[in-house]
Amino acid sequence: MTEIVMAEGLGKRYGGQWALRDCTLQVRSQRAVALVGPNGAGKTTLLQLLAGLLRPSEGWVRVAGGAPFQEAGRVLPHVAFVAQEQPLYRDFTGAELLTLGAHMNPRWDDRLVRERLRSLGVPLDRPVARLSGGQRSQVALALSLAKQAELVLLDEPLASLDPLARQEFLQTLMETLSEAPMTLVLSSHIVGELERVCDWLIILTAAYVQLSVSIEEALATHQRVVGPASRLDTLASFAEVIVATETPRQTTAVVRTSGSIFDPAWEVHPMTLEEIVLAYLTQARSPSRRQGWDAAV
Amino acid sequence: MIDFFIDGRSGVPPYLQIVHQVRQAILLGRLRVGDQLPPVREVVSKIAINPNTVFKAYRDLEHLGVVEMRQGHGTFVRRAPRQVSSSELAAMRRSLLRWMKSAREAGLDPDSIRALFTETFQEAQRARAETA
Amino acid sequence: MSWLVWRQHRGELLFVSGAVLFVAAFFVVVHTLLAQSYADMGIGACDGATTDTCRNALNSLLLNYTWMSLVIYALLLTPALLGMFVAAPLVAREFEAGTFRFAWMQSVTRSQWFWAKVLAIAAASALAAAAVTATVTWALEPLVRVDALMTLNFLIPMTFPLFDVSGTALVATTVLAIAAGTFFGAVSKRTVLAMVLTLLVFAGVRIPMNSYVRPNLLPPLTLTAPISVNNPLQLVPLGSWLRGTGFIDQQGNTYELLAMVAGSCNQTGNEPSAFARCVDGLGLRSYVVYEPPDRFWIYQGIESGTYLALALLLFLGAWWQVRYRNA
Repeated sequence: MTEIVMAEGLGKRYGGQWALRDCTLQVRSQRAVALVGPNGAGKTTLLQLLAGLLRPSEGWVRVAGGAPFQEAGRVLPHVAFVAQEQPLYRDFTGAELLTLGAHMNPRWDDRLVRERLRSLGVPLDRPVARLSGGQRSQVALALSLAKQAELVLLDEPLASLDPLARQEFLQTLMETLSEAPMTLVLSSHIVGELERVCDWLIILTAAYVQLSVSIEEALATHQRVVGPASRLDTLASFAEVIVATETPRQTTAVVRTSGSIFDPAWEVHPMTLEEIVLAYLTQARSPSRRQGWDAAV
Repeated sequence: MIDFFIDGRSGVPPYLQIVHQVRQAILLGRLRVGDQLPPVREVVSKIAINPNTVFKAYRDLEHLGVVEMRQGHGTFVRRAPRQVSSSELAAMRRSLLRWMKSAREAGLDPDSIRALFTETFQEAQRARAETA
Repeated sequence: MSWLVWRQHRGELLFVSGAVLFVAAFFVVVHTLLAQSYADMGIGACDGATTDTCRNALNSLLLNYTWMSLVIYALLLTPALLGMFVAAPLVAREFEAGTFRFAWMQSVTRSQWFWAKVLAIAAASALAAAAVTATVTWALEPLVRVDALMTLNFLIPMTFPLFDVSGTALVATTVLAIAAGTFFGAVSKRTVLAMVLTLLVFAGVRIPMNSYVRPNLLPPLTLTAPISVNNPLQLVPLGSWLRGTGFIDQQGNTYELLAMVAGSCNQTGNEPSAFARCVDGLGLRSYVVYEPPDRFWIYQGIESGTYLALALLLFLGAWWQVRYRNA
């Protein structure tokens, strides 16, 4: 298995502001990555750097073996990207957009996506401006999947969709994934909706990558512990403390450990993925506890 | 054909839920020997979960001897799982009651007993999953 | 990419084609009417404004077509309109709508995308300008001849406004306007701002070129003639750009009116030949400052060359902006 995405020290600055900094990660092929973080954390910046829409300010990134911005001609056929507002030529019909894709991309197979759009009842003979938001997002998704790219990047694909549209979007995506192997990276500020769909988690806050692990490992290694007051340093000796709150009576912390916690003084509770993400987001608020993480598979 | 559903809040990994639901369906007779499990594509087009989750569940079931994956044809129920006799069930229930009595005598309240049991159960499931 | 360019811009391309056809049809009608007037007024036989009949015929024809300069002024505006309404939104609208993020992910490089759109629009516009130039030049030839014979300098190729619609001028200014629109669209990424800047810069280049550069490109020629010559303007080559006329004395001083200098000759009475002999005796002559029509292509070449060079810089600037600067 090879890495379809490799980045080292990747950073992007707008004027004096760093939108992404010191990003080092590898994404193995055929992973489904949930890229999670609050608004403005740098998710869109990272995705656009991977898509070759932005030039890195520092560091480097390789997608499918090429630099996306500098070697667009070589890399583009291997990457599909749908931006946050899912931009399309609004006066084109769905059929015309599919024709556009067929003309401009070297690999194009829209049989399956046409079939899927048909079964969803999305009309292809109408200008897409006159489709509902959910139908438009299905068209945007169809166009990105028909490209047969190895890496599919979706920026907040569910943000503007109602629950049914969200469901249908993910069904389409998963069905396509089951037919053709590809690497997915989906960004969202709500991890819950991506949890069932993804197997890898990257947490991004305030321009830095906080965590990059498999979801399985995240759930297995993070615990919420409750224990006696003023025992934080003891805790820190056998676990990595992500966030902690202390009252005169007790200490509550979210920790990451590779093994089990045997100290009976601490009550251990499993956590949901959302709670884990929240812990990292809380940690990022206090700059002194910022840590960067990188983990390859 | 069986329809799967995933309970996101149960704390049980989705692939295990699928394994359970298949075994449950066989136990209750909804799935019989020779029945085909829904293809991965069909499962994920209904419940939007990662196809690998379904693959993993089907593989697990194959390791357990419950199903058989035939290349190009699909996944089929292989044989009935070992039926648990009522006397075995009764013995398990008695053993559990004894344990609960000891826990109460040790000073644990009902909530703690439940928490201890759930924690240990989940840990054991995870450990089993890792070795599988 | 060609499919996309056509599909995206077919509205504009069809509109411009339609407009060109309309202009062509209009001028075909004009030409027919001119030919008719020529025949009716017997102008074909006139070699100059020599006889009274000829002079009257030439005059009345011109009076019927004074509105033609307004039409030419309107044609002069079209490059600016193309620059503002076709070229400025070309790239800017995609940035505003975010659709460039869709287009750039379709396995074409930014450069391919840019040049395909720009070259298609520029070529179509240049072609339209060339078609209009050819039509106007052909259609107005009779009128031009009449103007030249009457030395009016109103509607001849050597002068504004017809100069700017003849030769390569309209094509070059059109390409410049397209380049300006594209450049400002690419740099500002806002359609309306790009439109305004295009208009300002286009006018800012064209007006000085017409008013200051063109009159000073080459030194004009001067021709003098004795006072006895009735109309010295007829002595310069047909179709020349007349820069000035007046009287010059032996010291080289120039005067606009004869009366200013020939005061002593006013006493000779009303007889023209006596007056003329007197003035001649004073050493006064008429002069005409002019630029001959053989300079037409030199001027066209210099101006069009400048515009095209500027256009090339603007296109390259726009391309650099799209290719190397972030979206």
